[in-house]
Amino acid sequence: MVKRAALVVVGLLAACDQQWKPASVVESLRVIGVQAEPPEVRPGETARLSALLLDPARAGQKDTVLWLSCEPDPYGAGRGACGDLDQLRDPSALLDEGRLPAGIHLIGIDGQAGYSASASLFDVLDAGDPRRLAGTVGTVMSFAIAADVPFTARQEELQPIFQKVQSKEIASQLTLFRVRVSETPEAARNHNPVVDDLTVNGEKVPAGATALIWPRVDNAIALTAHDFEEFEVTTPNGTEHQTERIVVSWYTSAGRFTQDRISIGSDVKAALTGPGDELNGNDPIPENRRGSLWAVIRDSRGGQSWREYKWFACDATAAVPVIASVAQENGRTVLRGSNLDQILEVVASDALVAGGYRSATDTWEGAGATGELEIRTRGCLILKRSP
Amino acid sequence: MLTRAPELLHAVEAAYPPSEADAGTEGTVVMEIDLGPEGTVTDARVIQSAGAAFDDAALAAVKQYTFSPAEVDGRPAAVRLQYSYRFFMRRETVAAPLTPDAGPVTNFSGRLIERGTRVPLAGALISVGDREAYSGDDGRFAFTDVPVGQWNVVVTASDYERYQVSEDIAPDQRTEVTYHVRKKVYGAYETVVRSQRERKEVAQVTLRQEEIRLIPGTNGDAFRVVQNLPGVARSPFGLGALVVRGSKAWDSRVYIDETLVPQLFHFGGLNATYNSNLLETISFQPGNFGAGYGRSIGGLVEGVARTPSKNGYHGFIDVNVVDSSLLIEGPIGESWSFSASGRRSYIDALLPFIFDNFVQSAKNALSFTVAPRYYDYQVRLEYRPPKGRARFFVSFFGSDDKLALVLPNPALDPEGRGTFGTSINYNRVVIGFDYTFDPKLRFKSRISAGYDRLDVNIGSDIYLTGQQFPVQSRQSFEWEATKWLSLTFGLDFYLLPVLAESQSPPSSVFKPNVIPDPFVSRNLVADHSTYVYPEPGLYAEAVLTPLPNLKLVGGVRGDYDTYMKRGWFDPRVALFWSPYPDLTVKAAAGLYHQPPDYRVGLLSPVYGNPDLLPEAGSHYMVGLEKRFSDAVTLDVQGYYKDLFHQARATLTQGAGTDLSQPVVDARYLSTGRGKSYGLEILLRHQLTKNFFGWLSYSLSRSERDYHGGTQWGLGQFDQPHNLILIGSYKLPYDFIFGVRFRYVSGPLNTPFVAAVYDANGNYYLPVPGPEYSRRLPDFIQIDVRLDKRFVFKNWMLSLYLDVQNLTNQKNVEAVVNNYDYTKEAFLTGLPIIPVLGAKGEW
Repeated sequence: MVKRAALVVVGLLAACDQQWKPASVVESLRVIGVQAEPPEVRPGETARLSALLLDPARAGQKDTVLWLSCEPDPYGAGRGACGDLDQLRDPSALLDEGRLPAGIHLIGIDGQAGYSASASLFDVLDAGDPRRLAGTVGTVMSFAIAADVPFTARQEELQPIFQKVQSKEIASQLTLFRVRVSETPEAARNHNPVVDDLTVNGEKVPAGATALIWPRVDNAIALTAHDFEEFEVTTPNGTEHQTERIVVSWYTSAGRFTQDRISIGSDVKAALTGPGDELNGNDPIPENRRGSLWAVIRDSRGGQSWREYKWFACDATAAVPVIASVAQENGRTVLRGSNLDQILEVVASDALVAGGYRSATDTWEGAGATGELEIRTRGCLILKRSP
Repeated sequence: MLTRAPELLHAVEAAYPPSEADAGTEGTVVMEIDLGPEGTVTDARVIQSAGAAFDDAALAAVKQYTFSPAEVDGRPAAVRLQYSYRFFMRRETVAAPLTPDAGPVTNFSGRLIERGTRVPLAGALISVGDREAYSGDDGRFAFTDVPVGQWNVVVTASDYERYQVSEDIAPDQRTEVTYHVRKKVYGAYETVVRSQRERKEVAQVTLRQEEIRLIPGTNGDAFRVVQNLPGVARSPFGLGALVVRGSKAWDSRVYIDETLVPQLFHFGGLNATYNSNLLETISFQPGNFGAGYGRSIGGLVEGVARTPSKNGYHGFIDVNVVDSSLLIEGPIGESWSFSASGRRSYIDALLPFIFDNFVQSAKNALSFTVAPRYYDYQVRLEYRPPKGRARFFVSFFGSDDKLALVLPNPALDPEGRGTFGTSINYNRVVIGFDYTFDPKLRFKSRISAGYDRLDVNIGSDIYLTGQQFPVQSRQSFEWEATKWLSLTFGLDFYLLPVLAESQSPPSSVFKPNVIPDPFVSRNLVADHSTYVYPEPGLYAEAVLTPLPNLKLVGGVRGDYDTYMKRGWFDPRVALFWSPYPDLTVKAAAGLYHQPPDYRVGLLSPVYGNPDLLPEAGSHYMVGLEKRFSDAVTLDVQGYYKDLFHQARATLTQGAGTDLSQPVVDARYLSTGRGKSYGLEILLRHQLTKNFFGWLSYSLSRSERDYHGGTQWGLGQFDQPHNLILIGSYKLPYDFIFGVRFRYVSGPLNTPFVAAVYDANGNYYLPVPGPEYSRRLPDFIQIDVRLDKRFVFKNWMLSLYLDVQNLTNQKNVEAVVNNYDYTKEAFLTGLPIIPVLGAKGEW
């Protein structure tokens, strides 16, 4: 009776009891996006690789990314060393080029990496084989290490680093990414999607500006993007025309998302619950009330892009700046008044005006601007003034 | 098993010992009576004395009793039963006025029925002054020429409380009465079967209804009770998987009336799909079963449905939070009877309410269009004349489970699939016919046909729809050729037409050694095919008794799978040797085969390998049985099971692969190996008047070759220790107290040694270490149950308190990890859960 009901309910909820930090909160070394440009190549062409590497725990220090790859399986069966779990149990083995498993090659370090498949990749297939057009994937691995690894050093100097990676004293992350390789005509190939605008609490965040979020409450966030490409897929029932679905994955340095991934254009909405919410456990408001927000978008065909935003946790106790005058002096924007140190930033023509508060003159000064100014305060007021 | 209890046909009143009469003492003598196959009393002895004089008088009377023959498995058999004879002082005879002699006139008659159950009370003694009569099978009695006046009427019967009432006999009137006589202990089962069905199986445990009902923590479900027997591993969260001697669930089969049941439990294992209240018995064999059953290399569960009530209309309504069920049964004339029952869950209404009001976060993540919902039904019509040779029944039963989830956020699936649904439905019609040509030759026929449907869909592009139209025919003859030889011949034909429609990623994506490629998984493959699996089977079995204390059972079974184009012969032998009357040594060996699990596509040319071999296993066991008394038995057995030709997924070619060579992937090969071995102990106190219980211990080891056969390790269901102690005692005032204690070695777990982030799929894929190489903490739990029965004139109400996990033990069931598998925590099972319930029966 009740027991049976409880069995069902507890069974459904049993796994919901943990208070681990969600994947969308970035506090240490993480690779949260990998991009190939272009995301789809012909055999012999090269795609430039980049990774969105974050490491808030080592701000200002250099991390290392090692790029490795495998030759694609022309038969599209996923064979090869890069997906072989037996090769990945000890990722530190990938640090030693001399010990790399058969089929895995070093293709770059840090921001210098490109991937290309052999021009003769599909020679094993007949000229008219549909698998040439359907394509295959070249698997790329990025191995990020929370250390500045001098790969020009001698093996005995690198060995201690390898051991610390193996013992997890040095954080690392192995990431897999796939580059499509096909003989698809250029016009039909995939392109990376493009991030457009971020909207927070209904306000489109101006270019370069800081998003204003309220602590402890849900702040509605939305992203727009473009390049919803149409493409054809071959199904058991024939060829189908489809339109790409672009999914945005949200990441933040503090706070929590109600939904950490959203299909752009769907009815589901996401919100960033500002830090400081006791219900979220260990999620304090940062001392400087500042944090970062990352949006990574994927088009489901291997295309990927991202953008980073800064956010500020509004301080409801902050004094309200009183703007006495707005002037353009010597090509610079000068604000005078009181409590000007409470100005977070100034926006003009939907773009950030670079500048800041100068205590010596008790003014806010920035680059020259025309039109109406939006003065964004630490209390998250937006004061509009004209010069 | 006992299929017909003996009924008292002729009773003789014991002479009241003069010495006791003079002293005015009364007493009750409890005896054990041995009945021969024809119902005559062959022996009787006192087991609870009321004094020498009473004992002698009772024994002398009882030895003159005549009973109807008891039947075991439909055949007359010797049985032993307990019988109480109560001596009580009668009043002095009242001088009745004489009436004109117009022949005997029945002027006082009536009917005795058991209070609460309304079952006719046969063989009871009714005394009206010095007049006495016994009630017939229908509980009726009659007196002639009872003088007019007020009379004290006394009804006495073994195991029933003395019933006494005053009746006024009026002139020229017939007094018709109905007496509701209360049983001393409800739920008691008087007859102890002495002559079991002829033993052919070396490792069989049979349970009766009362045992099934009262075991704490099982909801009175027979099939869940089976999980408390030696040889059955405890599955995580106590859910419904039937894991026998380390075998996968597919290796074991469940039959109802010899008809294969494709789905044992509803979703979540809460209830079996067949109503336990309709079962006469359920028996379980963890291995080494005889030649009568095939196509299975694991264990066997066999339920036998009972004849619907021929003693009036009965039934129950059970309404609870999760589901409601209804059962009604009764006679149709003298020879026919029927039963009908059904159950329907309403979790689909309950869960949204809970989510709406208590667990908003879960509601946001999951949205049910059809929450877990199930129903099942059973209808049976049976012809079984009281003294006929034939028995015939038609039975319909089936089950339906449905679940549909909508993920409100389609982005949760990288491919944007926002729905998941599954439904399982099966239906069977079974026609059964038994005929006894003479006591030495019997025929049994079971023919069934059915319709099954399985639907699974993930979004609109990944789906599986399977429809089956199974036809099963089992015909057998049993012939007692001589006193030392009996033979059984049988035809076991199974025809399984399957319509399969499926579309899914290729099976090469999900190999155990490779990271699934989201691009390859998008290359969906489809299979729209009709498969027909005709599986004719023949078997023969001989029971040879060359010596009174030695029995050999030899059988052979031949099966052919027309789809696989392969056949096999499975010889099986068993030996029983009783050096002492209460001690039996037993041993058995046998070969077993089954087709690979076609349901998951192992034989599919698209997803599997149609050239797979039949999976095979060799079973070996030795053991002994010791009977300490009629109630207490000990069964100890050791076993070894060698599994070979197991279907095993091939590995994807990894490092060092010559990619210029085409893909050659059989997907599955018949090269899998495994072995299980262990020791099983069952110390059992059979159901008697007040107590039943058992101690079950299984030492169960299981090993498998993993990872394409490159690694040997412990099998997933390796459970070194599984100790279960069950007891249920009937207390005074219709209270029943039950307790279950369980100690089980912790479940095995595969640790994760690393994780890889898949930047295309945006998830972390754990890199597993050696499979099932870590054992989680042991499981310990105590469940208790207290029942109180209130007996009313025409119905009974049972209240019960069932407390699961009395000590609130935090038993570890599984391991959960954080998003990148750098942290883990134990997932514990249910906390203490007290449940108060009620059930009305009539």
